[in-house]
Amino acid sequence: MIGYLCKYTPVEILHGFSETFERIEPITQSVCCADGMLHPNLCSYARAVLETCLEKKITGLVLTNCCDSVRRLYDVALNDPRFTWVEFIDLPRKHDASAVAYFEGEVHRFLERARRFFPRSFNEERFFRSIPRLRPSNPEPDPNPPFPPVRLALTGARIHPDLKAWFMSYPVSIVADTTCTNPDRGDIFQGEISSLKTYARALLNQTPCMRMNRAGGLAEPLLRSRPEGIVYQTVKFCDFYGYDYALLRGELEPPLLKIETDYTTGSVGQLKTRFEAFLESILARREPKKPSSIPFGLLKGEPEMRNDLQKLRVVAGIDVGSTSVNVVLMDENHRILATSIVKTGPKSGLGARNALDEALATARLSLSDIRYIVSTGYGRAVASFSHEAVTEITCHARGALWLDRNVRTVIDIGGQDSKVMRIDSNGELKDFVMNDKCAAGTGKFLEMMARTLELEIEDLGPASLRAKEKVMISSMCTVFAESEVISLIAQNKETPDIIKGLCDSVATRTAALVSRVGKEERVMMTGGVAKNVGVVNSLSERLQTDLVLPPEPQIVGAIGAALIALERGHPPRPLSE
Amino acid sequence: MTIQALYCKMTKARFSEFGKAQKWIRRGASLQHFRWKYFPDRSIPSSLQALNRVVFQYLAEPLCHPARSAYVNLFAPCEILHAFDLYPMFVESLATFLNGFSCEDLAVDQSESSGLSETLCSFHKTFIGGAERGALPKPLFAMASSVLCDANTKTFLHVAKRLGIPALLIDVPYTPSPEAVRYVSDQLQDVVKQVEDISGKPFRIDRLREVLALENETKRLMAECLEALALKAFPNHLTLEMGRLMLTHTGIGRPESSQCFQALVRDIRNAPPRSGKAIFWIQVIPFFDPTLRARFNYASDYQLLGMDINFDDLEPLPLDDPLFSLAKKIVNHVFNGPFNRRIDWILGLMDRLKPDGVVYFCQWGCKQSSGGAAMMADALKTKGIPCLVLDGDAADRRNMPQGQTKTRVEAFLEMLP
Ligand code: SF4
Ligand code: SF4
Ligand code: SF4
Repeated sequence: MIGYLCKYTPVEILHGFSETFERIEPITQSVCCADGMLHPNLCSYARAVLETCLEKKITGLVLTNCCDSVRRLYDVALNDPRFTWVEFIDLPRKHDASAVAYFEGEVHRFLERARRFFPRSFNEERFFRSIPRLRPSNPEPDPNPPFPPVRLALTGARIHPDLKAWFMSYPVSIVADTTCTNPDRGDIFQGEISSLKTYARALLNQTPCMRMNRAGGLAEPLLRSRPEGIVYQTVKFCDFYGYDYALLRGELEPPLLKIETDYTTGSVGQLKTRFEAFLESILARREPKKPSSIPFGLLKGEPEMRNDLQKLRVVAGIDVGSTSVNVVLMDENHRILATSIVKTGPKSGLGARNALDEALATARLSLSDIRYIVSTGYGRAVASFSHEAVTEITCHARGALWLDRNVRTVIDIGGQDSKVMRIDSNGELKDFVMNDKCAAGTGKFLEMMARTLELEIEDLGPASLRAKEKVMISSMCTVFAESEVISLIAQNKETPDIIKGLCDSVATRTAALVSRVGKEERVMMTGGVAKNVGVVNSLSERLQTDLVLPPEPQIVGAIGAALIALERGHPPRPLSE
Repeated sequence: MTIQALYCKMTKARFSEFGKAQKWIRRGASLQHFRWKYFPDRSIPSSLQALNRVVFQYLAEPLCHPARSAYVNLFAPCEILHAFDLYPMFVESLATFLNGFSCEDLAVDQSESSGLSETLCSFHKTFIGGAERGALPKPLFAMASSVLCDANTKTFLHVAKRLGIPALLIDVPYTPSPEAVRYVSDQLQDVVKQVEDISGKPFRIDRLREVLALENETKRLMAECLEALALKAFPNHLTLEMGRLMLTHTGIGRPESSQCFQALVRDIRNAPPRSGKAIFWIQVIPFFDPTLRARFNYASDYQLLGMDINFDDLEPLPLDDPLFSLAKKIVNHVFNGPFNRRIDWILGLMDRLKPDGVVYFCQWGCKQSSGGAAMMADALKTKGIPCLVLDGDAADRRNMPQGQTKTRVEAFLEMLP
């Protein structure tokens, strides 16, 4: 079996030899075999390719001169006897006449090498016949979408077909795809293809990927398709995307969603949150005048039940986070009747139920008194008793604005992730960023460091206030930071100084997130870490503003969920225009 | 606090305000140049004093005359600039210089918050951040070749777009071949025309020939240094070894570079025979790391022989068709093409230099070097040369774990036979 990676690969030539081949689209559990051969800082995709080849016994590999990671993959494969045929096609970054001439030569040389390698001879007719000329038809759209499909453009690095299929399970239509994996080869060969030369030229002149040095970059072909939103897909340790992303981000009207996968473990839960919040924000833009009601949500209730809501009295918002479940019961006069904060525990469904029961007990109510429940947070889908699930991004924005109508920026640092949202005066989400890739800058980080220092997490804040000497924890990585802390302990540094250093490091990280969405005052901080006075002080120093701290920072998402639940009390507005 | 530290602190304080730090950075380079010209540190060999002086001269010139300069990368054909009397503003050394001011964190944060990848090489992030904050001046144009790493042409295109200056990019095919040389030589013809247009100066091929002739002379001296180094104990300095890149690459073909190597050949030949352990370094050097500084800077027990990139090309260039020679130089460069070429070359170099051990540095974000670490270390070990693969960041000190580096480097040095 022969594998290839890149959309510029002249695979039709392999057809001419009647060879079987496939584009390698790995999802591996871990990259253990590849580990010793390719440094962990190489692109996760390239590493996963090597792993997959070894696993699936793919012994032929056709690569292009894509990037440093692929070049090193080539070197490793070249030196590994398990591969019998390793080919490398030089792909110019330009597309002027001399670049085209060079690429034509490359395709020709590839053919000659293949002739020498394959036992079967090259059948020209078969080659020409295999060149796809037609655009494959799009999959059948959902006959009754809840709203007109969102027009999305996909760009960036590789996007796994499963992930694309998962996007398509929402009411969206993909209007452009400039990723490496666009399967639409019919697009490429539009004109007359009668020779190897014209074939090579068409191949090089297809919609450019992010690697190419094209002055116009990616923006132009994307915008031509008039998308309502652009999904920027990247792979961990792939850097090409950043340049176009940085330029697109400032200039483009349609909102951008950047997602990153590592081709090994799919953190689908959090992708789901981001993707849904992104769709929510696009739908909110469709009707900027009436933003108070968020039309997108996974309505789980029966239609009769929605009509029932007019009789609504008390609602519940329930935020199922990774470390705690937070519940707010609210009545129709927007009074908070009860709140609860309970550890999530290993079974989040159970934790959610316990938290709800605790709040109900405080308010002396029973489940049947609650007319509508909106769940949010990482585990929002597991709260089986809720009517609707809404992302925590939307809920936080709503909750924060309700607590203080002048808030425009919300910083939420929870146990597993941190996020920053920018909202307008209607509570409409303008932009958001999330850090969910690693523990650095989250509650988890502080918790781990507290453990290293043999302290309780609650003690960190007050202790940091006693700091006298400035200590820098420079490492952004939790593992490195831990060894830094240990060496600081070994140097006999005072514990409060170390703690202050840790708080500063979280604050620096968070301030960087804030600058990515742009700070607009006032700034509210929510989530468990908002209870840590050390981080709060350090962050407010870095942002040069006083932070608004809600009385109970952990329940802001649940408040937002309750507010949304109350809105559902009005006859549901039709979802489409 | 020393005057130098105070100066750095004051520069850093101006970094966040657009354009404010530029003057301070420029003056910093000029002052250092002045210092090495008139008050050099006489405790080190005179050739190293000269090397220090030329490094700061090459750094200061383009900062003082941005309208006669171009941003370049390591493998840009700077000979063309010299033929036009333009100054190369070498961006990795600018990043290193910003690091010297401890400003790299602000520059890196600026790049990352603009949307660039966090896993991009910190040299590039520092340069981009510095340019975007106006800490670096805006030159006439940018010129880069795609050799050595992905970031090259992309970074230059990006910065040029942000600053509104032309970007002259040279796309170098990976596999050396006559067709590849032709493709690059076409592009060099184009570059020359564009530089004529941008600078308003005519191109004189004889001037380029002179530059190449001087380059050949310098390379001859560099080769003599190499032979002498194999036998002698000659002190070195981490920062100087990094700075030397400007003499062996972007500034090659200038008289100062060849004079410097002449002095080096003389001093190395007069040095005592090698006595301590000699270490060879592959890839960039985190010159600010305290352990490495303590071990290697002007040390005699552990001699830093040098860094691979400073020995990468000692081939003389034919002068009949200078642009074609330059195209051939870039395409056939040992850092281009399959990694096996580089391994063979290093093994050959090790035969000549005879180090006691090799450190292979994996720069954060540098996929081209990290990806080859395992292969190179294996090859060296098979040959009986101990090799330490060290991860870290030579541009952003926040990614350089001091404690780990200390343990690893010291254990490695202890382990050497
Ligand atoms: S980035 Fe471009 S060159 Fe690289 S694999 Fe994707 S399509 Fe191919
Ligand atoms: S995802 Fe990026 S780094 Fe990885 S193979 Fe593709 S272009 Fe290269
Ligand atoms: S260290 Fe590596 S990635 Fe960074 S500029 Fe040098 S070659 Fe490129």
